[in-house]
Amino acid sequence: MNKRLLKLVLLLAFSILMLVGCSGQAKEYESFAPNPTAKVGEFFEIDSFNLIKINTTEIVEKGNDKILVINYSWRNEGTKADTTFDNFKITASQGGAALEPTLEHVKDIKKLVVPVDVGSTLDDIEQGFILESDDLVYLSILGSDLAFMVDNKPINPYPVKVEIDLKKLQ
Amino acid sequence: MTIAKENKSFISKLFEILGGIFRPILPIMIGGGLLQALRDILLMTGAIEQVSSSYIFLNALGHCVFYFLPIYLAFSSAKVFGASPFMSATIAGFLMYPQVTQLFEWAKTVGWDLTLFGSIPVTYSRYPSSVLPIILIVYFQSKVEPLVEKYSPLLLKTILVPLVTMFVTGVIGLIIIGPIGTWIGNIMNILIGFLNERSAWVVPTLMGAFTPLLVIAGAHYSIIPITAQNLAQLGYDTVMLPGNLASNLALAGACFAVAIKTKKTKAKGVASSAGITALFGISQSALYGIVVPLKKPLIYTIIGGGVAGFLAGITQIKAYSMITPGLLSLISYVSADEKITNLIFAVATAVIAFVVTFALTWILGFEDFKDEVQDETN
Repeated sequence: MNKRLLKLVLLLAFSILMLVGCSGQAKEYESFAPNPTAKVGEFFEIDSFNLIKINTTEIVEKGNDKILVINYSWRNEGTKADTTFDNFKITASQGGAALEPTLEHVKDIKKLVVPVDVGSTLDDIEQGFILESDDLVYLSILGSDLAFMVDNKPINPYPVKVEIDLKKLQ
Repeated sequence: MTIAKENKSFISKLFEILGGIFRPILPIMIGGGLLQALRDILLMTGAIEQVSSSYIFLNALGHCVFYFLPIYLAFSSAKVFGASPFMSATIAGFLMYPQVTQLFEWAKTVGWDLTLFGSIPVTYSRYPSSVLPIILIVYFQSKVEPLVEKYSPLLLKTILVPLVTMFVTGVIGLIIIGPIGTWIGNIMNILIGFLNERSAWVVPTLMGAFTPLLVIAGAHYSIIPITAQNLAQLGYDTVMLPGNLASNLALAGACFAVAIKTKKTKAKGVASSAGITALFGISQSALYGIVVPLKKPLIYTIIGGGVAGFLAGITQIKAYSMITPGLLSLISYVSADEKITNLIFAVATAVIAFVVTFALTWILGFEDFKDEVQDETN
């Protein structure tokens, strides 16, 4: 009898907890989603913790290869000192095909792994990509957020795209 | 003659090793597969959303089986090769350590050449969900460990054996064996991808037709690594599971035709129960109890399985989880990423395998059992 009573009490308590959990107003989440595109020369958000600015872009020739070298700045808006390595990925594509990354012609590759304090900006970080043609290059910069919030609903994070017209560089 | 004998023993030993490695982890692969199917059903019915904590938890529950596959493989490989299972699992853990995985991914993204001690090059490999690298690494560990054990002074054994074994296996695994395993795995993937692209029907047709022979030879476990790798890395399999679906349903078709046509009362019961178990993917009783002893139904099963396998191949059906190939496995052809035609063609594959083999067995007939058969299904 006591066991049955105990089971009943537990079931009741569980049901109440469920009802409490289901009731109440849905929590409002702060809406965050970066602009899907950005321009060279201005800081832009890629997620909740990172700001990026593409400073300059140049084409360097090496043998038969043409290498696009981008110079950028990164501001760490996170909660701890961190490296680029832990925070975002920059990839490039031409005509939908991914370009091969290279660190040839990058002046100081250690900048890619230097920890940056919270609120500080690291300038003149460089990254190269081997070009396949003279077509437009799209840089895709993906941060480390698990989701972006749009209209109080979570959506899959997306990379911020930066268009680079090679004809203007030559 | 000697060479042939050695080859045979090597091949049967290889099958035995692969069976020993994969048999213990099959239950979790089936469980993980079903959980992934449940995730997709909940997603399609709108019970959960793609970007939600529920999705992340449910996805992790099913996918962790495949993501951490090297750890389970390390453990079972160690038991097969006679190495220390916890040390093997630790090596797998090292290769899959989040920062190591992240470092590999990052280095690939920026074009950074990774090194160990500043000079030894470390080739890019992706270890989570991989199959072959860890099996080769544990095999190497099984050779290193006894040597360290043998040459360590008795007093220092408890320190030296784990230290030296883990260091040597970890480092050699990272710089040599892991990349070799990755290359072999990649070559296998390229070959299968090439076959799927150029003549998608070949592999499922062969699997549909000849799976019964592979089971008889005990060689069906040799295909599991390819399937496990496909499921873990691509998220679906087009090699073994669709072909096995065709083969098992063909076996069921043959058994039910035998059950109806045979004059022996006990054989009717045995064939019916073997047919039912084959419908649910358990092929042994159908094979050993009915089609192999009667011979002709085995040929019809090969034809029916081959025809259905051909359909599975040309329609390129994809199985999204490892469920014993049978009627229940049809759920694995449902995916949020896939059109409903994938399921329709999977059902068609099952139906054609069953109907063709049933019709062949029914029309062309077979030489009936001379005596009553014993129930092999119990």
